[in-house]
Amino acid sequence: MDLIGNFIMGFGVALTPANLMFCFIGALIGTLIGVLPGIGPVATLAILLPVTFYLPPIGALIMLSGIYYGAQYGGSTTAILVNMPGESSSLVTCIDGYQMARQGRAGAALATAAVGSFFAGCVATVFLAVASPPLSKLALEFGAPEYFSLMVLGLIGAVVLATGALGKAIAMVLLGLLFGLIGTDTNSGLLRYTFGLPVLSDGVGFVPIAMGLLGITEIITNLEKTEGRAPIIAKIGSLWPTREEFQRAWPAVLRGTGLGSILGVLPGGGALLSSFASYALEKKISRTPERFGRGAIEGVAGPEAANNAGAQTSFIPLLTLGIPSNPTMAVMVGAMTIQGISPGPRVMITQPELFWGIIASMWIGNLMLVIINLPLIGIWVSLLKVPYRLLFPSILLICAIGVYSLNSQPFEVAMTAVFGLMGYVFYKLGCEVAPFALGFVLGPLMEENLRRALLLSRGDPLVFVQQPISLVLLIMAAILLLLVLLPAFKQTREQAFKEV
Amino acid sequence: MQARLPVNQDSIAGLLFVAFGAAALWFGRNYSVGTAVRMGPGYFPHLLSWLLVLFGLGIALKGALRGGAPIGQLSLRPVFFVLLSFIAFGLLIDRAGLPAAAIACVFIGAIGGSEFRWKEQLILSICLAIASSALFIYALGLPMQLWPW
Repeated sequence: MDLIGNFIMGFGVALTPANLMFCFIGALIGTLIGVLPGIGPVATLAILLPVTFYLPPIGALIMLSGIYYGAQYGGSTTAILVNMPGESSSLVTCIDGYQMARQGRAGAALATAAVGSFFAGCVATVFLAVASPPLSKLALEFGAPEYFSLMVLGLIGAVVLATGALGKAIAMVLLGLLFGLIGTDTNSGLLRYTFGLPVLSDGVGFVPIAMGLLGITEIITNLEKTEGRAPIIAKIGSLWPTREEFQRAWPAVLRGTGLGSILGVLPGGGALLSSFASYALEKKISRTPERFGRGAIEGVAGPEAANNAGAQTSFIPLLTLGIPSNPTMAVMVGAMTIQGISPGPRVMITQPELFWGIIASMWIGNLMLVIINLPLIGIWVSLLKVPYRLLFPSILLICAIGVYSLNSQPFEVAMTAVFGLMGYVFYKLGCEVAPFALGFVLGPLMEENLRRALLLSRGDPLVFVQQPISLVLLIMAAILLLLVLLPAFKQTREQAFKEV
Repeated sequence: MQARLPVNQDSIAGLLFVAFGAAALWFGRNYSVGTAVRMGPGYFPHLLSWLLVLFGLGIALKGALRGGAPIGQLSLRPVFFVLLSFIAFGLLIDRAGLPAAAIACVFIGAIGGSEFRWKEQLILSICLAIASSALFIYALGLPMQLWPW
């Protein structure tokens, strides 16, 4: 079978010593970042983006994906042991995981989270491998109108899932799109919004934007919350779940895997949404919902499986359509662009070893993570004792060196600071930066496809609804928007974001 | 009675969006718009800018009329020193080399933290300067200067 042949090729790529090492480093850094509260996976990816510049393309992407799913694992450790989410998708794990820890079942919770994540990761990887070829075949048929509509759908998805107000999220997308247009217009060669600065003629770099808006802003807001951090670390206890715990956990893992795999594909989806949805589902179908919040193992198993599955399948839109579905994937687009790869359906055809190599590496990476996480848990826990006052200046330095090393441009270092300030202002105004980041990545693509679509249709905007695929995509976008505006859904959405 | 200005997250965010949109329109005023068939370089930016102004106005009005969440305390100390540490790095890296830039970056940034112990941070910054020079210049061979003179 084709699939098996592809898998074998993928493993051939992923199992080379160099790529194994990149995978391991990625998983290790990811776990590290996930464990340390106060710096999330998106920020880390943005911060480490320059490093990958010096790696071969496959190695770079393998390492970055490792960081992403590694962070999902690591985040659960802190959530369970100290009731502090290492990153946002572990928020729900705190609720029941920490309660389990207080009852002396931290070991069981950690083991369930790790094994559940591993299982989910394996299934989602197969899902990714099976679903991608047909999708990318479909995507090859896409013309300009379809691409434009697809991007509209992606952006609307990002807006709907932003936690803030809808209007502000849309405005952030528009602003991101505008920033994406800075630089030379590909069609006319005109310099747009460069203010006579030659540095800007190629546009604003993705690294300064991502690092400033996502990384620096996060550091500043962490410094603002100045409560003295003295984490009380729960005792780990036995790693083995009891028979009863096991019987409760495994169906939750299955459900979480399924839910996460599907939600990860959706525009705007990914790990965060999957974990929230899974927790809600487990609570809803449980015969004893009152146990939730008091150490129900399903509340750990489901969301942890779901966030890992979602993290893996959110690669599908990126690898097949070339459209990032969440800010983490936007950073991956940045990484691919740095490497001279334009993400999209052609990647699978022109660079099969890249595509299948990444998929195989995910499987290997997940296995490594179980090994990294369970026996070494003590080391990760001791890391929690490093005070933030020593940590954050070190992160600042890594950021500064990272930006500078890309183009040796001191100006870009300063620009990162400016974007950091901008991110802080937006944070204070309750505007999320994730839609901005997606808009920024998609800006030039969107203009290009709009231009082409209207050129081919001789200026008739109806082309977007006359092409069947494009029409379907636009209808999906409209449904998403309508859902948010419906009062009933609006309430649940606000509640869902408030609850956790 | 004193009329209070409706200052909240929404009204200020809205005005900020309007300002961005208006600025984009002003600086892009010479970009030709063209027609839908033959789009000029100004077509898409103008479209986005106008949409941004519209949404900004809507958000600002909503905030002004119905109120919104308060903006909260701005903590200028971390903002100022974190940004300054980046600017210091940018200014020093070409002129004084990596170790000096690294020390400045770490030390200035650390002042932004709530508990600043200068001896500890001095030691940290020197250690990081040595480590980063060894890693990035010697081990990875990045084109950065150790001492420019």
